[in-house]
Amino acid sequence: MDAGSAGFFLIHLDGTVTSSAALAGQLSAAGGPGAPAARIPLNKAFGLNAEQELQFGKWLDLVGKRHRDMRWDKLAPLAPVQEIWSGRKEDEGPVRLAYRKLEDGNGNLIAIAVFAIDTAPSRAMVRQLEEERERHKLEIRDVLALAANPPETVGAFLEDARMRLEGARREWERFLASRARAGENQPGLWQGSVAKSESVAESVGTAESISADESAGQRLFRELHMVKGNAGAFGFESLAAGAQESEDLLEALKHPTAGSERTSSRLTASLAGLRMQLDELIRAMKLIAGEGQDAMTRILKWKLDRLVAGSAELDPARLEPPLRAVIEATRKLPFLSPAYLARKYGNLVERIAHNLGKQVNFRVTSNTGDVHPESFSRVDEALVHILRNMVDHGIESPAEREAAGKGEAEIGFEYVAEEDRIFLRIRDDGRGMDPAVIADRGVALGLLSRADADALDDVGKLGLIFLERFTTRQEADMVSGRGLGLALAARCVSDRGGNLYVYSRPGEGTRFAIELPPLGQKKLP
Amino acid sequence: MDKTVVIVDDSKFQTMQLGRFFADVMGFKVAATGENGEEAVEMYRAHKPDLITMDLTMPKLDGRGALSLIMKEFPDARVLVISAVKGPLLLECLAIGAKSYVEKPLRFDKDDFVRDFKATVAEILQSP
Repeated sequence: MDAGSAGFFLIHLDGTVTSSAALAGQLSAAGGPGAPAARIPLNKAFGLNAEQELQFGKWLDLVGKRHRDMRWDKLAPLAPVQEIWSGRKEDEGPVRLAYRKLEDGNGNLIAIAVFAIDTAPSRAMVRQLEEERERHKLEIRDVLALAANPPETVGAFLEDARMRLEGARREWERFLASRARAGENQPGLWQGSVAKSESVAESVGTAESISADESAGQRLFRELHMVKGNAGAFGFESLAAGAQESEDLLEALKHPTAGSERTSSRLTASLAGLRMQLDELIRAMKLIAGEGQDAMTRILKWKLDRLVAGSAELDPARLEPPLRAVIEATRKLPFLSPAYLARKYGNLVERIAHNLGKQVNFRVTSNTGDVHPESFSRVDEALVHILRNMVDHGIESPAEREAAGKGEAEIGFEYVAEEDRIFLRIRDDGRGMDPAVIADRGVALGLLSRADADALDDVGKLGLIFLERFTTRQEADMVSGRGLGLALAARCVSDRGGNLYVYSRPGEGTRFAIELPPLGQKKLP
Repeated sequence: MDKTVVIVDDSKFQTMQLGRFFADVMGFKVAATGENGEEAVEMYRAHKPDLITMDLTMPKLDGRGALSLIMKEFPDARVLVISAVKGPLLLECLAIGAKSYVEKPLRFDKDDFVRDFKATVAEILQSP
């Protein structure tokens, strides 16, 4: 049998075979059935050796005796030939044989039908699915890498990579152009520099200085290698893989062969592909950088949309479990780990503290592993005011802390999701506030009468700091500078249907708590 | 009355697995278990079970040998070959008279395997 052709055969009980081609010939013969379709011996039809022929005979015998009392599912797998490889390559897969019994109305066996199924198309489909899945995985890793690194750092990396890839592309085009001019006389890609002055002048944009003695290949390799290493370090695995591919192609060109021409054009395509991948990442970054507090949610949604669009042609129910899990995971992406909070607000705290010559440890705790960005980005403004205030005014200078016998300052951030509300608690271990002093300030500012002030308990007195006119411009005492910021924080929280609380005692630090309605609701119960 | 089964396999673990499945899932009474072909023949004589399961590669007397002795003495014996061996030997056993076969490994954790196992046993019990 020609293994390349899928087809249909009949095995007769006497061990001879009729091919579908012969059957078709018989059926199409003009003027009714012509001569019976030609029968050929089994061994010829299937290319069997003597032993296989013997076993096939035994199998046919068994089928003849047992087809009534043994399920066909049990008999068919025992047929000695299940697949045919002759003349096929590994990646084409075999031609599979499927056996069916043909019976007459009384359950008598007439013949055995054999369907030869070419597995190449289905293997190609499986391969395509696998590639698709790999691509999805890489895209998801991109998202995670974007989320896991501070935007400034990622931005710097992307810019660096852009310049390097631009340099690499120019280097490669220059080489191709000069090869086109000089033909065979052109020094090889990996041999000494061709046009030193030219290459130096044009390569100003690349991030590293050019050594004039390097070959074009070396320069290209170095740029690609840097991009690959940095991309890998940031977790941009698809970019790293792309750079690796270009590197490999470049490496292959070290020893020119007959296939070099093809390798060259593959390298051109690979470099262009790298550039496209990078542009994609840069676009994503711009979304983050340009959109303020909800940027992370936006970028994740954007990426998610693309993933879903990309998989629109696939029916999720038909996907293999691992791929389905990956897609499910992307659906959950808008939920971030609490570590994201540490990164986002920790960076802010560190920056403010640094400017003020202070050192503050920022610690995040949470009662859940999934933090919804919206639950804190909607009060982002309040959080920023509170944290700024704490670092600026709550936390003492290092000298002051040392005199008070305190160690390194700490600001704690706690995210507590309850069924019907969300708490964001922020506490410092700084100098704290004295309710009496706050009350006095309020009276002095004319915000309330002495009698009213005295009637307030400590919490009420401390609450005065959220009033808009509670601003003092006097120099450092326990309340100075706790000005408009906290009033804005209070307004931001109340605009979101939440409450802002403060509690403090002199010398023992300050605690703020933001109480918010759960996601999707405007009011606290 | 419960159907009876004799299980013969040189792996004690597999015998135990099979015994448990026959007893707990299929409602059989496990009449005896053996670990070689000689025991298979003796136990068949002693118990005349509704079904005997037979491994093929076993010490002393192998499954094929035991099968042909049993078939000679008890032409109506219902023998189920349970083996990892496929190909000519299995064809031969079926030609000698084994009613059907189940391929090892035993995957009682897999629905497909369990379905096939039950169907195969049911099919054998239907035969005269």
